[in-house]
Amino acid sequence: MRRLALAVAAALFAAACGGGATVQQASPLDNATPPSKPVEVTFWHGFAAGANQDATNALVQKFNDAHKGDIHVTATYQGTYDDTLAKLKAAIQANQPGTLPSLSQIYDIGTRFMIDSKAIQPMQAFIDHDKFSTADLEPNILGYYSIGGKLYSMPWNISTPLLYYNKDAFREAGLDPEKPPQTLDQIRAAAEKLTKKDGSGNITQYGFGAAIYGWFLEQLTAKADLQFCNNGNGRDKNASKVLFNQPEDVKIVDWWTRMVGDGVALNTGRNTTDAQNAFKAGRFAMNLESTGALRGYQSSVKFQLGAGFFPRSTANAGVGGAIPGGASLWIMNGKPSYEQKAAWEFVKFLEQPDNMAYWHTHTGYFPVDKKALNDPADQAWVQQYPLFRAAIDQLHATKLDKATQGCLLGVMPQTRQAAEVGIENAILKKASPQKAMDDAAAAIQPQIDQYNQAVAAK
Amino acid sequence: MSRSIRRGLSYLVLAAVTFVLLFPLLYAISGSLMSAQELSRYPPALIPSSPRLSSFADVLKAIPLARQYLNSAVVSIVVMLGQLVTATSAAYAFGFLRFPLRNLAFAVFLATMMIPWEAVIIPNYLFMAGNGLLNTYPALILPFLATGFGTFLLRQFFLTFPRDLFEAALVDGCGHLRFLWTILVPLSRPALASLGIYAFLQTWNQYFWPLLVTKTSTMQTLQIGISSLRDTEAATAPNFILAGVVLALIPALFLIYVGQRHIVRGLTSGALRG
Repeated sequence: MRRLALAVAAALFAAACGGGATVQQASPLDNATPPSKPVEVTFWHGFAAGANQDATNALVQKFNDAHKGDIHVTATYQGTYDDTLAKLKAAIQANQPGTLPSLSQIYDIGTRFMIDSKAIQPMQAFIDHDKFSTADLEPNILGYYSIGGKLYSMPWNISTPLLYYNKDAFREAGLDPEKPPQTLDQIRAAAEKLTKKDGSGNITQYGFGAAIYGWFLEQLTAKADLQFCNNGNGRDKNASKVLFNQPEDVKIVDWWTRMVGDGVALNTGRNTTDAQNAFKAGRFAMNLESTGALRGYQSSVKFQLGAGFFPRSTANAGVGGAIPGGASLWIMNGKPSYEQKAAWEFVKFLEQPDNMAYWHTHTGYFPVDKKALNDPADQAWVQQYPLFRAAIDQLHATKLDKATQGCLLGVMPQTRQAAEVGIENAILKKASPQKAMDDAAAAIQPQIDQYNQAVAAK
Repeated sequence: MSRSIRRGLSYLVLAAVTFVLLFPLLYAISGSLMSAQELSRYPPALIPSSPRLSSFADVLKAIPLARQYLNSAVVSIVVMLGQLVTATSAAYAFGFLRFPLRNLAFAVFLATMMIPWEAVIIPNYLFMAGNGLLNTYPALILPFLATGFGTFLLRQFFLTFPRDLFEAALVDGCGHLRFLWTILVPLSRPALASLGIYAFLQTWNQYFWPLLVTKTSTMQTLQIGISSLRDTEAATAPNFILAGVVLALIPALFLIYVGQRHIVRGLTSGALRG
């Protein structure tokens, strides 16, 4: 009986992996007229209730008001980023009219999968058709979503990682609160001064703490101007190997392991919320987090908050940079051309400088259009949240190359998890940093191979 | 040691254990009444210094909670009733009737318990999509109407009845349906109640399937609504999430309060006789 169940499971797995998208592709260039108006555009996103969802709904409302009788966009929450991608995968397999949205937000690390799914219409097709100018869009952001000079999806909610710190604790430890550490060695030195013990030897404040989040290792790798996976970070052709067990990454993991082992950093595990809450509660004085956390931090910390560039592992400041993270918008090609074009209208609308300024000031995500930063409302906001300046400067300081474009892998979500397991095993002293990262790389290899075979077989 | 002291001591121990078990729930309630700042204090605050209900108001503003409650209730109740009907009839057939290949058929029923639900999610989804049922109540309900586990549970329970009862009823001219309805069901109330509560809670707590087949927030169930309160990147204030969790817990707690007598009786009655 058990064998039967296993066989059934295996058959389904094969079906699930082998089934490529055979949805009919409609060219965005044909001039099919919609049978009725307004054209309905369904838009899936992964924004939980709160500021981000409110801002999304407000922009959708504004668009619908401006296109009354013409286009109507319905935005719905589909679960977390992971859930949204899982749902989209199921919908692509179902290959039925009505199951797929016209437009979907997908997180950065789903990019390679989306391209390989063949279920999407590259954004470049609309850009070329409309002669739409991308000159004002941040090139460092477009870099991530471009392969071979072709833009596949439109970046929308963009965040970058920062070093957050407790200025009060800096002052107390005799450190300059306006000069946050910039390298891992400087963080180590500052953390030693920031770690406080009470009379009985218990640590009341650690110097440093960050969630064991694979994204941070990816960022540190890009800051060192190194690639995270081979074949030009998966941009020359599909990557076939991860590189996170290279010497520089092992050095970074070793640094992290020592920080925790020597009691100057607190390990709160892989859950980002745990590290956020511990930082808010003042358990440690320096923290790595996304720009997305800035507003949440400012509304609940009782100390003076500081933010600086994400650290780098090397002394050389002239190379590399942070990878813009976040999510982008994908238009599905299984829809009639008029629906795809209507979705494109909405995408263009979101990228307009005034709407980007609204988006930036209401969510804290980075404005994709450069001109948004000149908007008076935007400038007033940056005045109010001066810490955001660090994110702007960091993005502009990044040198665009394959390392800072970031790694694309069809199984990037799983790869990030594998890296996290590796870092965690090193920190928990289950294996040496080198062995832990080697094991993690070996663990993800079969999934990469399987994915590439499935794509090649299509 | 006198009896009253012993009794007092056991109450003390029971109270301590109860407190430990209830602590997460109490802390959720207490946290939902705190401000974001108070909740992220270290060492943690246990009692809100000035209780406030604004987190609850924020939750009600953020998601269509009443509608999602209704969705969860409709789906859970229909699934519960459906499972009771199908499991009772199937268990009756397997327990009382004699027909060819009965044991094989029962084994096939049991085999459905061995297939992990995850393995059939995609085929089920394709079926729903192919029949245009996505984002409707049938999509949320249909896959769960029959249950191998429930059939097994009730059959075992039915087997504890003396066969003479069944034969005497037949001799007196009582048909299958009448025997089932007027004799068997009233006598099986504890087992039916425990299956019903189990089915209800199981459905109430579902996450992935309702997420997959619903598209609009007005068709989503409460569990999805609650999880939509959590934005990992934006460092959301936990008091907001706790308020949502407390609101979601109320009906489940109520049901357990009302039904716990039946759950306990249903689980233990088979244990002694089976």
